[in-house]
Amino acid sequence: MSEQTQLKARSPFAEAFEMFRRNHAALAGLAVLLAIIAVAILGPVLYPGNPFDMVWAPFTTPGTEGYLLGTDYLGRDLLSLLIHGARVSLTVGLAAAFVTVTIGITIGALAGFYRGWVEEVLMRLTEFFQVLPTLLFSMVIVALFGASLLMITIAIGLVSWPAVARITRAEFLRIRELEYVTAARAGGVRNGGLMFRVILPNALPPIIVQAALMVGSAILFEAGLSFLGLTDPNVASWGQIIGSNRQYILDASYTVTVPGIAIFITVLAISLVGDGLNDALNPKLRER
Amino acid sequence: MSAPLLSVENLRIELATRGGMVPVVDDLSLWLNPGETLSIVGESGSGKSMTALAVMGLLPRIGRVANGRIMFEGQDMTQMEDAALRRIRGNQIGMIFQEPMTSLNPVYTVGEQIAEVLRHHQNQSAAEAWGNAIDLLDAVRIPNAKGRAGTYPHEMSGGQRQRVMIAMALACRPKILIADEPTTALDVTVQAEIFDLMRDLARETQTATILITHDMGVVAEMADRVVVMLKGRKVEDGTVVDLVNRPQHDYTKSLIASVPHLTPETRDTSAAQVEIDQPLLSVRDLTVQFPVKKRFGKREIFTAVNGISFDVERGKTLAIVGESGSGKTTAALAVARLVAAQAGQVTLDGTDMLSLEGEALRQARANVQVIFQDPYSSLNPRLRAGAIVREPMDNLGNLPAAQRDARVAELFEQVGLEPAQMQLFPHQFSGGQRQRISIARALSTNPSLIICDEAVSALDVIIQAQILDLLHDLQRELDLTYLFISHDLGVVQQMCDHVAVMYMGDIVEYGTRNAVFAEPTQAYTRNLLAAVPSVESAKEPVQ
Repeated sequence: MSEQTQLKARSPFAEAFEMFRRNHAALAGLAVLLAIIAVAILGPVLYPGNPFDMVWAPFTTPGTEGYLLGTDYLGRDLLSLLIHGARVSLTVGLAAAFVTVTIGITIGALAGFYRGWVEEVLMRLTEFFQVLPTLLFSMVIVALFGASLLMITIAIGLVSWPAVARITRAEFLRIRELEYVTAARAGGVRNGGLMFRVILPNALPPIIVQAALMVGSAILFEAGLSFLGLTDPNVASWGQIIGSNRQYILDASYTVTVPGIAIFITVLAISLVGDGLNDALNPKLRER
Repeated sequence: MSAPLLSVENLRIELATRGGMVPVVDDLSLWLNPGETLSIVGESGSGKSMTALAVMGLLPRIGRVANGRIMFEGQDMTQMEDAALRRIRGNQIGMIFQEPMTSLNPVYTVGEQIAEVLRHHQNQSAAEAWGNAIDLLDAVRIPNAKGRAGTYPHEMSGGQRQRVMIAMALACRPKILIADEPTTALDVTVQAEIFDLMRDLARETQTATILITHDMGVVAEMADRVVVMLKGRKVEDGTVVDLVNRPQHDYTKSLIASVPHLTPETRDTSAAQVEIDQPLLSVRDLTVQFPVKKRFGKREIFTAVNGISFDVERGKTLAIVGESGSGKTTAALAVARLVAAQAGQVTLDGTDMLSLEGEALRQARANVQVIFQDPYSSLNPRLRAGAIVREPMDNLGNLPAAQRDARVAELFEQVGLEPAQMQLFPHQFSGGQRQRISIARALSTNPSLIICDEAVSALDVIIQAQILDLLHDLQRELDLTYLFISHDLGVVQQMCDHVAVMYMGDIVEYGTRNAVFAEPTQAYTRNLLAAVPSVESAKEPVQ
């Protein structure tokens, strides 16, 4: 290869993107995900009105003129609920993943970088949160502090961060021993800079993958809590639709199937994207 | 002359890459006679290991033999079924790999692993195989073979593990032994022992050997004939004596020239003692200890550096040589305050380095910079080359921000890179180029001391020579002072003014270069010097 053709800069992330583009499953997942996000953002414009309004007779089957997905037990339009619910489900998923990653990276980075007693304390704390029964713990938080979306997001974040903290710590333990970190230290970079500007960017690939998958599991978690009734009753979310219609699962199964499929497709799309990111960001797989 | 045992004819090996099939070996022909040692020599990427893997039928999945034949006992191995290949592999052709740490299975004892080979290939009973395994360990000179057969690989040293690998490869009395850089990961004294063993075993068992190496000195000491490879093609072949004395190709000449001649140019050892009036760096009684965790939370102290003292003169080079585990790197990093020292005094340019703390320590780092060994892990893969060189200037020193990029460009030119390459990322450079970036980074704060920690050990010999030249030139131009850490006596001899030999945390010999190389006073130093392979053994006497 000639030196001239090499002069174009190619960042590691640009190469990863190139890999991602060639993964058809991941691209399909991304397309579906973008469509869902578009619906969540534009939905209220495309389909105005309060989704909680009773618009027609209860249990109108899907396909009825004007009510594509039918109505639920209170005569509310399921399509409207679904579109407005997409916004809530996705927001909670993203926000909870954000909380998870923020707590996880902070704890993992400090533990992996400073070692010693800092690591001991932080990792025991991580283990403490890891052994808590997650559903029970989040139910307690929501029950104590109120079933608002904010609380649900915080509850999901609080029970999910240990996995991110462990991955971050493991990456930090590996990378801190590499020579470019020692070189940066010799070059006068302060501890904070070493942690967040030198080591963290190199530790990101597995964390990004974990975060992507975390969005999917947070959506599921939110659906689970809503199903149990631990949600803001004034806000439509997919889990909440399933929860409120659960008594009629035998008589009008579509009222729970439709939001269930929405959750399934969203989480599947996110998983495909996560897998694609994993392949693209993992240099060992890149050569194949 | 009898027919060759193995012959490779017009071999072409291709690897599948994104850009299609790329040849890594092309039009290679060679042959191996019974009982002889053939060496394939070349730098990394020359196709020498791929050739060995093709002979074993072990090419990676993305590789294939595109053309040519590999004839063994009248059969073309490239056309053979997998089952037939498996019978030949291990039984008729054995192989030793480079890395003794990873080529043994850590969960089985070494005895079990050798016995497994015998049971599998020769259908021996468990008891029979175990007995033979002990005999084999004895044959490769593992002391107390019977007792050691029950130990696990991690309980053995690197040299012992490589002996076990040889025992496994020879277990079925193969006709051919392929050794792929068998001693590259080992210390030079251990390498000499392994070569002694291989020579003796080859003579006793009449095994033909293909020895793959990058070191012409190894070739001269071990091989009968040699094939020189460059970029997948054979550039020259012949007997070792012919090739060493009458090399035809320029590449062969440069390979031979790269082998160190440890006999010094002058025998003048009058100034054996290091006498420096005003040293730039003065180290006294430096001690570095690490806590080692043992089972059940017990702690032990491991002393890596045991109260050593030395001086470095301004504008000169002090080399610290030693084998792995001697504490040479730890000592150097302790001087730079990159490893914590427990006791001693380090004075650099009048500054007491060990007493510095916090911001004062950070600022003092501008005065001592390090060039690291591994060009693949010493550069942050997420930063552009220019940013890597600029980083120390952003944190230390007092160059105004506006002038820094110009200074980076200047440094790039100084180390032989194009300023246009500043925008590239590390993985777009070759190993030698990366080491140049590392050097530019070390120069960026105008340090008075530069520590070269095995700075050329990971490079091919010819690149190594270029980088050493660069370091020499920079020293002359900029009046640099080097603390040069290396295990390679040849490199040390080219680079240094003074030498300190370290062994197990102590400096066992300390003197001027000529004194240490010409008349070493310590037995350890003499052993070390004698163990370095040289081309002298193959040289014809000068008429």
